[in-house]
Amino acid sequence: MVSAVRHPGIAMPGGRPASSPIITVRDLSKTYTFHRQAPGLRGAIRGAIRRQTESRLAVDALTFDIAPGEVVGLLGPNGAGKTTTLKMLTGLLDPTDGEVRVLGYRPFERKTDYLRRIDLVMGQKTMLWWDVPALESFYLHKEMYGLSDALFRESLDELAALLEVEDLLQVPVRKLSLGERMKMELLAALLHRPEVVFLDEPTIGLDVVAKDRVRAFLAGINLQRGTTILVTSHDMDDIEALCSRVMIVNHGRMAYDGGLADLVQRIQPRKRVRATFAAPVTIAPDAALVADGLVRVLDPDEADSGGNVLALEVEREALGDLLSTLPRLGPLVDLAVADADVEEIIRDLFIGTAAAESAIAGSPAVGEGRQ
Amino acid sequence: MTLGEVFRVIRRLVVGGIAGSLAYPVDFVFYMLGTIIGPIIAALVWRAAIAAGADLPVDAQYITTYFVLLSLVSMLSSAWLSMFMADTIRDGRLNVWLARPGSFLYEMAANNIAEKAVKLVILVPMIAIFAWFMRDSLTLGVAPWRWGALLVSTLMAALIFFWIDVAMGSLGFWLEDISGLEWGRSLLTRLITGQMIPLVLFPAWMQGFLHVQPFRYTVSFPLEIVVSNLSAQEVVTGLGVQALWTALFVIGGLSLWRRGLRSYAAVGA
Amino acid sequence: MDANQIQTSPLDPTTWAAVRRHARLWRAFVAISLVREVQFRANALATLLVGVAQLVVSLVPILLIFSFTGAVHGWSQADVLVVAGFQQAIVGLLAAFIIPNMNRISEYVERGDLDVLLIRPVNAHVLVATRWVRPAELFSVLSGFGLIAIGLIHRGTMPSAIGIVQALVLFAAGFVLLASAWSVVATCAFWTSSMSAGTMVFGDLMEPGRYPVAFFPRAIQVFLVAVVPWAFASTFPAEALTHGLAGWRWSVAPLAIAFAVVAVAGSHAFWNRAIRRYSSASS
Repeated sequence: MVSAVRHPGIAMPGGRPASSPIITVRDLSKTYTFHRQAPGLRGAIRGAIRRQTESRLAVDALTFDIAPGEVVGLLGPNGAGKTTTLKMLTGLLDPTDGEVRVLGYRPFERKTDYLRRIDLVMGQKTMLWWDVPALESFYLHKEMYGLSDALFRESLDELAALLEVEDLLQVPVRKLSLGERMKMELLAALLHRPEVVFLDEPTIGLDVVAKDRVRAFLAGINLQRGTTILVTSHDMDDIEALCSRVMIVNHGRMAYDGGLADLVQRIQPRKRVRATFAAPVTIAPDAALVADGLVRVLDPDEADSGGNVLALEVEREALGDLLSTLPRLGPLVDLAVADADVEEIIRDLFIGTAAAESAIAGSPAVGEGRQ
Repeated sequence: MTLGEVFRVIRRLVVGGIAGSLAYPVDFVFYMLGTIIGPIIAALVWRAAIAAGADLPVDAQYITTYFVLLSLVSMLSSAWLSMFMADTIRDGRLNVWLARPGSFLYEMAANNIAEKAVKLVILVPMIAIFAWFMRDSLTLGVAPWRWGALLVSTLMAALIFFWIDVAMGSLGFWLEDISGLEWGRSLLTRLITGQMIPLVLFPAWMQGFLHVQPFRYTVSFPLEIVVSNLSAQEVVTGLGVQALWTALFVIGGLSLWRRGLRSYAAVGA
Repeated sequence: MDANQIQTSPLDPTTWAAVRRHARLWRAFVAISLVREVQFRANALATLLVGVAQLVVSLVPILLIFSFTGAVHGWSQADVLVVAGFQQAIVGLLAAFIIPNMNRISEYVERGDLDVLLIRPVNAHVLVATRWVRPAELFSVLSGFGLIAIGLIHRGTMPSAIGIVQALVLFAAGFVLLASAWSVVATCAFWTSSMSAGTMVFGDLMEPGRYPVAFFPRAIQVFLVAVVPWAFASTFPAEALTHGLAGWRWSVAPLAIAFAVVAVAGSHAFWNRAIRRYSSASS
């Protein structure tokens, strides 16, 4: 269910940049090697004598291009490699293999002239000084990025107006609400007019109103300045509201790269059916449709339905059959048919249900290619 | 709880505490190194003074032996729970502790004993090295009974410091912030416990006061038993006085703690 | 002004421009620390009182020693007060500008807060080592200079002009040397999680600076020249003001400068090594 207000960004056809890409990534990989050490004194001694090295492949041969002005969402379960990828794009981590270029620079060289053209906002980490007004932190940013007084003033005024925080600039950061603090973080990040902004879970912990403001702001910046934005998020509403293009990584590998609308269309073989009956009704597990795996019985939301409500998930092609079966179960009072939740679909993808994965891969016809 | 039960509870907590401390061996090595640096510097500086012909009331043997043994006695008698206790009271986390079977104080005592066990193992080799470098003016060959008396005295000193800490921490029931008081106390006690300078080196007009004040009986007196030429009579008398001070601080600390608990529970915090 | 203009011209066209930009940044750190300190006025006062009390307590051994003798290895009480004054002043400077940052490095590494700093177009070592400033600690610098003055007055001698110059040079070099030593110790946090205890121990090594290195045996003297260079930071500057640096000791000041340059380069190289490790391994 799309509950978020959709803010217009610059729509790009999925996965195909219209102009020369601002970010190019080829076979980007990252393997962590670490030493496993048993805890305690014995472990410390043993660890000193003989090291046990383990390695973990966090990012596996990612390849993609991002054009200037795109707003791209990076989705994936925890440990999928999203943050690792982000860190490699911002120069915080050295890639183990592959090539990455942003704005023509190799990020891990951490050239000053590269770093001043980007910024990274991490939802759970703050870059603001706690006990002083946000304005003081902004002055620090001014010096760090070598902004002239005029430019600083102009940028500050513009962003403060956009974010509606003019009155809060002189308030110590610790006194701000979480939403207000996030606005200040964003202000700081955009003060020096970066061409590319990376955001790691920017709306985490915010209330609905604040989330919407953040999304509106980011979309606005993208429209006005053509800032390229790469966002990682767990919140599908973020992605749906901002991004026209989505990259899904799972186990470090690219599982999908294309338009969000395409994605939703492709991996949505199922429909949700909610049937309310006059009397308690059950559907037998050995009933034809259920046994074939075409229909899945879900828990109805309301506890007091008393068995009158059947909540079912059904493959698209079986919908017709199901709808004709339902009246035979009992006297039908109400019927609702809806699309399955996008978030659940993505979640299924992460768990790796065969149906979802093969659908992503673009299996030709429904009903074929299923395990 | 019977005495036997108390003993078992504490023993269990101590074993757990030791296992926990062993997870941070390097940290403890650093801590112990820190406690030994001060005495090393002091020993060297005072020895330089003696070498330059300073007319001290004691000789180089006294100085050297004193400072070599100082960190050991100081560590074994130390307590560190007052700030933690005050913070726990202020945060309201004390409720969590009070809900547990063992008393808060048992856990503090167990933690104290456990960490000291680990620290001892780490500190002794360091002191041995220190002693070896100073071996030319070290006198450890005193009568064995003195070492026994040192042990007893150090135990009582540990009780004194523990219950002073309990008393200070209990002030947290009534005061917002005890860090100022704590800091003042530590500064004062550094001087008059003998942790910084052997009390005998202070000016003559201070000796009377220094000799009777209770903090002498925390670090200085245990060391004096082995290092100075106190007679057996004087040692026994001293131990008696120390026992009196110990009882005073135990009773004082305990009653302050109980008083605080009552007021804490009354408020329904 | 065209927003695009600022992006294409280099941020630091010359090395001097980079130095200037970092200096302005440091000034901004001082400004922000003053804003903080004004809010916590009580803390500043407390720091001041604590400093005074600690100074008095630290002087007790010196006063006691010299109640028993007039001079130790050629140093009188007044001379030693001058040494202690330099130690006090340098520790005050370190406590104001360097030490608060050193103590935080192990925190940064453990919590992963380094990312927010490494992303900046600023020399990371400078940024990490200087961002926190505690102006209240500068009172110790004043009291240190006061102690030096008291020592010199007690002595009844005036330092020569050359002596003053040498003392200032050594003071500055000594500060740089000790700051580098602190940096090296704190940077070890990238390899071990126990460095918060380690930096505490290193703080204890600020103590020997109160005394002339002549008070210590040979081995310790070497330590105080090469590892924790109190010889350059407090003993030699004090000598410059009291006895004067005669003979071969004339070379001490230029030597200190050279040593300081090497120390900064070394600590910076070590830092870069640590960051390389961080950027290849952290998750």
